[in-house]
Amino acid sequence: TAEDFQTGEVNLGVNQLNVDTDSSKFLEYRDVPSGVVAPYFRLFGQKGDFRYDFLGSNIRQDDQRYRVKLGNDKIRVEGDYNEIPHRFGNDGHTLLQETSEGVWQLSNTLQGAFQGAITAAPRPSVNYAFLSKLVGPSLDAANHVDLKLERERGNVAVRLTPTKAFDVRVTYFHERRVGDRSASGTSFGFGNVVELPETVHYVTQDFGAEAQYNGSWGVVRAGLHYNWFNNGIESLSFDNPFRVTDSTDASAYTAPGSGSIGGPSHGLMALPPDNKAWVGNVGATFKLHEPTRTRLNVDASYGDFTQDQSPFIPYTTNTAITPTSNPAAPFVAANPANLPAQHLDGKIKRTSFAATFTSRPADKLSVNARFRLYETTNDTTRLSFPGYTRFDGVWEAIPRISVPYDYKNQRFDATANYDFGEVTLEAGYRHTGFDRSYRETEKTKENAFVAAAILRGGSWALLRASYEKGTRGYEGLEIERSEDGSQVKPGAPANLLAIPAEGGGPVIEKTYASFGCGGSPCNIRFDQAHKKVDKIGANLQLTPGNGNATFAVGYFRTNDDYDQSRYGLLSAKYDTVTVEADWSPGEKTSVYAFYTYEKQVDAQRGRQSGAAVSFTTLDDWTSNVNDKTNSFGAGGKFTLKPEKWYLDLFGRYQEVNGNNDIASPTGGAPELARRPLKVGITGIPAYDDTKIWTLNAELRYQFAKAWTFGLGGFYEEYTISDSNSLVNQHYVPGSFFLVANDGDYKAKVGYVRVSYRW
Amino acid sequence: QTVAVTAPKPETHAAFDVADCKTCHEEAVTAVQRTRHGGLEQQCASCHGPLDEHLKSNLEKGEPGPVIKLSKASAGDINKTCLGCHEKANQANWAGSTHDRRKLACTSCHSIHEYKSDHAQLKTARDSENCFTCHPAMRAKSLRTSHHPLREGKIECASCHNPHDSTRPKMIKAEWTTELCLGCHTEKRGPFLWEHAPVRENCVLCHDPHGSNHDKLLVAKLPFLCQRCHLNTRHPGTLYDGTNSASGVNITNRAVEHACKNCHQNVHGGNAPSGPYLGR
Repeated sequence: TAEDFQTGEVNLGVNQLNVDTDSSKFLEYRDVPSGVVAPYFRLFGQKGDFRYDFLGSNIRQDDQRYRVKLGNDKIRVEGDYNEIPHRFGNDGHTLLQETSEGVWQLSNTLQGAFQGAITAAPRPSVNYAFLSKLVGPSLDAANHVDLKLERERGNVAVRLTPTKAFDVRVTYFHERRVGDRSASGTSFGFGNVVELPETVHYVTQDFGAEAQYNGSWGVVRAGLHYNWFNNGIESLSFDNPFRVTDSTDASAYTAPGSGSIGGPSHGLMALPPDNKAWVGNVGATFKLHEPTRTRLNVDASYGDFTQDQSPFIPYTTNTAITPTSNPAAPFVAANPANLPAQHLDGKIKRTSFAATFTSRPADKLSVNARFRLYETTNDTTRLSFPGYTRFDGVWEAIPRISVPYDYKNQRFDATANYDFGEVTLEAGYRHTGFDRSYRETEKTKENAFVAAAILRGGSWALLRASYEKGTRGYEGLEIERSEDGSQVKPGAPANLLAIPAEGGGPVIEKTYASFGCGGSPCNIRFDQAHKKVDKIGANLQLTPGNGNATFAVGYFRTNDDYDQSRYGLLSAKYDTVTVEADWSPGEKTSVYAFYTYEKQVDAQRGRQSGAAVSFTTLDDWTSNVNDKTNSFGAGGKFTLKPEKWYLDLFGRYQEVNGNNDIASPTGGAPELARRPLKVGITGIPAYDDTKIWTLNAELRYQFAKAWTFGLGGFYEEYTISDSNSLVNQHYVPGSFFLVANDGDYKAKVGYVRVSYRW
Repeated sequence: QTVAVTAPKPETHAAFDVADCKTCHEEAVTAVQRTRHGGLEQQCASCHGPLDEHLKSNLEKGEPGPVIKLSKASAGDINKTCLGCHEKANQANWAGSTHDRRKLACTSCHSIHEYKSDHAQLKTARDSENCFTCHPAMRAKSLRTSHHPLREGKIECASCHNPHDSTRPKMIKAEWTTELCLGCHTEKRGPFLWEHAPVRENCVLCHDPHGSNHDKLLVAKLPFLCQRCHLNTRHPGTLYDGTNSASGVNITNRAVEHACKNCHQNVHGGNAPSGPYLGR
């Protein structure tokens, strides 16, 4: 056994943080407290054959992490406790308060006052101006919330190694997620979105056992995991600011407005239900022939996912939706007894099988083949519903049935590569097949040819390049099936991407003719549409002379061309070029720098229809997104004076310039809709444009063999221009928004550190 | 002087003491002894082959004799040496993997003597710095405003990928993409009463796990992403351009803040009887 040893490091310091706004973004996933901090400690050693390793980072902070490894060759214990904060935004405004976990309310008095004012007002005057004036004062005194989630992840693994060949691992994982994130979707319909924090109280646990036996012939392994998720809150209840009493009418889902002032006094949203999963796997890798390094790997896995505990919430909370006041309703919709079932009997079985063969039949030749099957079988009982309540406002007598989607994915690929001295060439083929249920295509198949080359120039140059060209097609098209969704009796095709080519009657045929794509369907959804795929990648690394410096140039491109599609996604191209250099002239200096340029270009076409599908191309619109990104980075580590002075410098900059050019013909529905506003079709230049600067410098002085004093600074500046994000507008037409701040900031951190090593 | 890596592992006990190696290679030997390699029976000879000639020539002629220098060896030879012990667990299926076929050596990422990480003996403090050498686009994406906490050090490339694997596409650590994401986002596993087919099939149809400038790592901004599939009559197929955006003259709740998700919250699947449109 190796010599006994013990080393360690303790790092203490003081931070001073200054952020110029209350944006949450700087601390999105981290914690930088002002005051005394303990960024790092480690105790690591060996005594006889017993090794121990205790690691801690960001002690007692929201992003603290502790890891431990103990053990000898017979038994080893590993533990990891990792807290990950996720801050979504600060200082969101909401009229509601969380009166108990998952229940958001405002006072009946205020609800009643709003309802009274709306009821008293002449109906045509119930518009944005009126409502905005009504809620303004209350919003000024609104409740402020910070949206933050904390993940507390714990892992323990005990590994028993009775012999060198055989080992068993028992693992336990526990993760608690607590906090709030933006709920989005707490809405009472088109005219009354009420964005709220979604209260999160999740616990995920996993218990697993894995075993592995290694012989000279190969490895055999097996594992079993039981994984279960519990949600401490099953539903989110939220008050309707504009109603203190339940009511309903045919247009209640558009309230409050000139069409209706009805609707529920509060809404209920189903939060993610508890679920469980059993996953077992067996596998083996056989060393069939060592001289030719021939290996056969076989893996089989079975998974069982169930969701059958959490009770359904009722159709609605609106006690006014009854056969008497809402004739379309077959029963009292708020009574859970009228549900076809009290919970889902959700069951998905998943099987996967993989076989991989590799061999070097000749010294310079290597052949590889892989097959993989992944199949999900959704045995969830289908449930039929006579209808549903729309945003708790009104009963919609449209029968629905749940749809247990499942799919099978088969993938096969084979490659052969041959070493021609300093050059290695590879050629290969890949097939990916999907079988889907309840979708508009039964099968999609993608075939691709792959070529790669590795060129070595002595020890100073290395080029790796690969090219892939593939095509995907579909079989068993029944395009109107995409309209089924969960409709028991699908109505007339309402989705442009669901219109059959033939036999749909004059309107459909006229619509189809207007697509302008001749005979073959050109309106299949992009996850199943005909597609041409091109991928090119090249990475050149140069290490001239004595090897102190390395230069690298990389180019990578993917191009998905939905060549037969005229609607939906038409193409998605991504290009990137990188140049990079690092230089370490000696022990005392190492510097590096990189620049990466990226360009993402997505093209999409849609058509604006009214109540029925439009059959004129005048109503088409196109969106051409063009994202350009420039990223720079540079840094260096300098030993100014050995065993005395050290300097680390580090800088990074990224600018993303997104742009969405939008077009639509004059005289079409989109253009006509904008004429009264005296605007034309307007592109979106602020398409998530961001800039982020990060600069970091640290000077360290080793004032004794084990002691180091450090002085450092960290500056980060971030700006975002996002066309979706409101600024200080908490009530806009038809919607209350939190508008929590995760925007621009300038952050400065100064710190001192003392580090002791032994 | 370099010897080709052909010598099999010597069976006999090492005819030298590792302290002899420390005489000339103190830092390298100390670093090894702090790892499990320090406990190898053959010690330095396990990888560098028989050392008797090397030491004998050094003592007698003051000049080191022949020794296997892995830093000069080919990727295949280096890997053969390491896999002699490590062809199991995570590395069981290295042979034929993309990294193997692209002629990467174990020492492209790992270091026996000059490791910088606190686990897996990597050449860099964190594994992502290693991966970014050949995958610079992923480094650029990790800087995007919407990202997993990779650059904050809370997860690593190896949290999702096994770089030694040859059996799964993109070397992911699960039987399928969706199952990998559900490992951390378990609340979305379902099954649900109302499913959303592309979500059940593959998360990367809508999300770019490496980073994006759009909310929630989406590959496109809402509502345009949803309109890649939903061009229905009434509001889904309607154009929402700059006029309807947050700074536009006709703000609509279908285009600002969470756009479609302002009403269709349970886009990953929902359990509410009145949620066939993935709202509620």
